[in-house]
Amino acid sequence: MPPERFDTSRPFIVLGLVVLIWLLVPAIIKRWTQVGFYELQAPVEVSASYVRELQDYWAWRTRSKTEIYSAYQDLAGVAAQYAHAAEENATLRREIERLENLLRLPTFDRYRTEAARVVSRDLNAWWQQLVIRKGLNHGITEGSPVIFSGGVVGRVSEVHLNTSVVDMISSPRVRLAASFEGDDRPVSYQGGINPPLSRPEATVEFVPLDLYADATEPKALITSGLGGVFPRGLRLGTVILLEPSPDGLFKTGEVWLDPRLNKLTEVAVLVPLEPL
Amino acid sequence: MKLTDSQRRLIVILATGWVLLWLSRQANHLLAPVGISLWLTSLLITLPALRLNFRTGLVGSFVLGLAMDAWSPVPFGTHAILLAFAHVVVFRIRNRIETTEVTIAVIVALITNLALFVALTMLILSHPGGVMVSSLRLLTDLVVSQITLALIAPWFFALQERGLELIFRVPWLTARTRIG
Repeated sequence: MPPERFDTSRPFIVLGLVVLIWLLVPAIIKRWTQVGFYELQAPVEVSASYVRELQDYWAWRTRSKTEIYSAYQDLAGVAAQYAHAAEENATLRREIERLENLLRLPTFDRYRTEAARVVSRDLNAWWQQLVIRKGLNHGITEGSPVIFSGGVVGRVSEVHLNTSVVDMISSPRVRLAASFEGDDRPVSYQGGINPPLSRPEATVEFVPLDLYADATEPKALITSGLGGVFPRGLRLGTVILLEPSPDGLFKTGEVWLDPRLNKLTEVAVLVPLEPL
Repeated sequence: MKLTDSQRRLIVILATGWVLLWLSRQANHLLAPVGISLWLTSLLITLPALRLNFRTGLVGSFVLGLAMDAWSPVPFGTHAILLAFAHVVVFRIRNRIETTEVTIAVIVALITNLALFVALTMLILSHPGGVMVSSLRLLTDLVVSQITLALIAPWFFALQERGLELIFRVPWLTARTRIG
């Protein structure tokens, strides 16, 4: 019979062995296990998103015909505006193509757009990520930028068979090069502190001293195009405060992100035509 | 193939734990617009650690931890090792408490949940890249999670007990004598 001290500490010895074995397992086996666990759970998560859409459908079915007709009228107005914008867009594209050919410049079309529905949102104090309903089977690649009508959503951090994980720009783990609208100098953007019951926020660092912004005169922050992930000019947020940093060489500031980031249901993935 | 009693218990623990994980993911999806999230992880290990044999509970905790890791941006195995450690600690102290009392089980779940929440926060803050988190957000998430946990724990324990009853086809009080 083993001594009593061994018997009482046996659970901890077993745990120690489990941890040791886990640390010794090759990384490739861990990766396979991770993918296996993910893909096993993915269909149920995706089904839940389809069920939510069905709920929305039946909720719409309860609306009166008058309500639906007035919504249709509003949409018809928006559609007419978009049709006009699309026409202008096509003309401008033709003009850009003509100038590119004339001046022998490299083409601007580096991405194709892939629309995707949001399967689940996991936004907590530690990380902020979305799972979208498009993956390897739809040509999504790791690192692709993800956008919505309000600007940048984030970038694809993991690609699975039919789903992808997006690291949002509000996540404290995201850092990228940005610039102020109308100013080419790069600054450092970091997703940041997301207080409860409020809009997502971020911070901006290494801002030149001659730039000013406050709540009465906010400045738009856009992607700088540096780093090769995000194309230039995509909206990140609004800088509402700039203060000198402790070393006095630069300014640091507070960025308000679009509040719609927390309730996204549809996004667009910019899939690079050439691998990143 | 005939399953042993231990394997049947493990299946019940994994199935009910996975249902809880799925429900909490759906709740977090719906709560995202208001900037609150739930952390109910300790419920996965409380009943197995208090009432099942050591091996079944440990394997269940580790596998459910891996299921959580697959959907989290932390090194694969982080949740699994945290849950396994919490399971061992609760298992070690279970002789000193009345494990059949639901109130006691809820209190154990609350304390374990707090410890797991703090441990994961520490692990993330100690990341070499340096991650900033809002202490107000952490506190709010923790308070909301603890309240939710206290409210749903009796239901979840009842679900697990009912699952165990179903696989043995005998009332839980009789089945419980076979577990240990």
